[in-house]
Amino acid sequence: MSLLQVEGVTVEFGGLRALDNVSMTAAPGQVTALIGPNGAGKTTLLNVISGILRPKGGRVRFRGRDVTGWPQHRVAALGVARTFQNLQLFGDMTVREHLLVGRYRLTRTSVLEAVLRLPRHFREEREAGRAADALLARLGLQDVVHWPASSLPYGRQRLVELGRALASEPSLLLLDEPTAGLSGAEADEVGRLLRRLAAEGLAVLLVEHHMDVVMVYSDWVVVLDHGSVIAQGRPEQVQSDPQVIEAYLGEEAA
Amino acid sequence: MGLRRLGPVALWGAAFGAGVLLLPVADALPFLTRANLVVFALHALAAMGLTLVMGFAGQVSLGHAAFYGVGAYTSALLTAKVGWQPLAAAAAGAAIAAILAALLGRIVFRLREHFLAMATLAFGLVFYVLMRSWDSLTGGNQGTGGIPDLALGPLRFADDTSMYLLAWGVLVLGLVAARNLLVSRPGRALVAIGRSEVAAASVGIDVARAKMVVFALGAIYASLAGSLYAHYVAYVSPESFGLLPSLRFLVISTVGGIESVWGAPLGSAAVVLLTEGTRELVPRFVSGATGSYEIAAYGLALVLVLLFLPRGLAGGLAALAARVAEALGQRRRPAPSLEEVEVG
Repeated sequence: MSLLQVEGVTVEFGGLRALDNVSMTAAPGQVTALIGPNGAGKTTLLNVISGILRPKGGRVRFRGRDVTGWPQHRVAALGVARTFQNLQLFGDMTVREHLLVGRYRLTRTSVLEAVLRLPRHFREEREAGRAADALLARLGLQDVVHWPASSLPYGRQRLVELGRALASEPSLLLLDEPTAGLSGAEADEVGRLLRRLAAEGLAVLLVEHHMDVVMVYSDWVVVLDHGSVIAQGRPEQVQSDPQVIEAYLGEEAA
Repeated sequence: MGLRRLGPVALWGAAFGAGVLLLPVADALPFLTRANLVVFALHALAAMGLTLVMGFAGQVSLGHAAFYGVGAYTSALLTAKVGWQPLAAAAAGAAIAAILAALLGRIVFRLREHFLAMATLAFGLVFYVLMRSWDSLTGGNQGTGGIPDLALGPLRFADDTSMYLLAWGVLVLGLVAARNLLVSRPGRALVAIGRSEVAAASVGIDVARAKMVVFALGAIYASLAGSLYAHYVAYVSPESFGLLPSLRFLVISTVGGIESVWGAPLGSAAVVLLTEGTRELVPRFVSGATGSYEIAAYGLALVLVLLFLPRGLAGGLAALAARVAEALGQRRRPAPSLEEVEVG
């Protein structure tokens, strides 16, 4: 069974239909790519799944559980992590602190326990610190651990955001254009990382514009156009689908 | 850095000692008295609560003096009229302030930016009017007197010096608590909310609840300061908890710097120096000038800091310390160039 099931989701913005009866799934061990021309509704779909937007109709199921309309933090607490198209970092917080915040759902220290420095605070700080350091090493950020995230070059800021999402040890990872603004080599690196994460059992759902990244690194491609799914399948199937070609050619002609 | 190596107990002990050293400083300055020091410590304690709300959770409150008033009136009424022990009355005040703040937070944190500020302003005014008009309970405009001196076991805090040392001690404990919170799971969550709410929620932080908690925590700081104040002056009336005191706390927090737990004490010191200094100086130059230059002094402090130290006195001092440390470090050995760092 799929980890994530989107069933007939419809979203309207003031009469404009941003998503129209969209159904799709994402499974553990797979990289699923969400593609389509600008304004097709890709980010809107991620926002519905992660609880930022409440759909007008349809259902979102995670691990068989109906999470439609749940607030964002409750969906996240179940193990759905995400990144944002326009980076959403915590300003001048250090790189390491970003990852510690990412561990929020896995820790329990309360305000009182923190203020009084009770044992749980120290235990969880140690555990979170170890996990964060391991992840920082994996992402190649170990040389900038104590730098303010905002002082890093753009590509590495994207890695910090990815690290924050991964720090929560999610089972579903939603990525909104993780390679935007990256060089070809950097984008390839992200693609390889996503493959490794999927191999470890993570379900990855990414919105992506770099077609070469989609074709090389994804298992399944869902194509959105004007808020509807117009095709889905393996990358090579989608690539030759006449409807898909038309949607993209239409965009270029316009 | 050197201080940090001494460990937390020595560090906070030194902080307490620094407060004690302010006593001879106040005695030496012609326009300061030890009573000014009490006001400085009490206002710093209350403003520290506001610093938490503004700096850690990015929320502005224009009604903070109401929570100061909740502590003051609860202590006043329970000790003077019901005969409670001061400590129990202060704890009751803190609990009431926290609950009120949480309830208010539930409502107002659905609002954003200036609507939120307006709602806290309204809350402050409602509290002020209620204290003025609820004659049978609060004594209305006349206020409530007969509040006993603060006594904890054998210790009595009846004069300026002992009250100042107590208030400064509570302030240092408040600093420790704020500092501990900042470097912890819930504190980092608050800082995260102040930077990006959508990203904070994306890692599982309940943004509305966290704001409520920090609002309640800020109210507890203000309430404790208010309780101390009530015992200190032995008499409370609504004027001490209206709009102007709320504004004063806002100025203290902003001038001191809302990004540091040290902001409130620095801001409070600056405001006391400025108000007492102008009280002393202005009549010498402007004949017939009357009391309202206090407001002018707040305004002046705020404008100067916003212009020259956007991160407040605490931010300015931190930048200065960093520059001094850098200069000293460079004199000892040349700093490695960027290339050398990256190769290593």
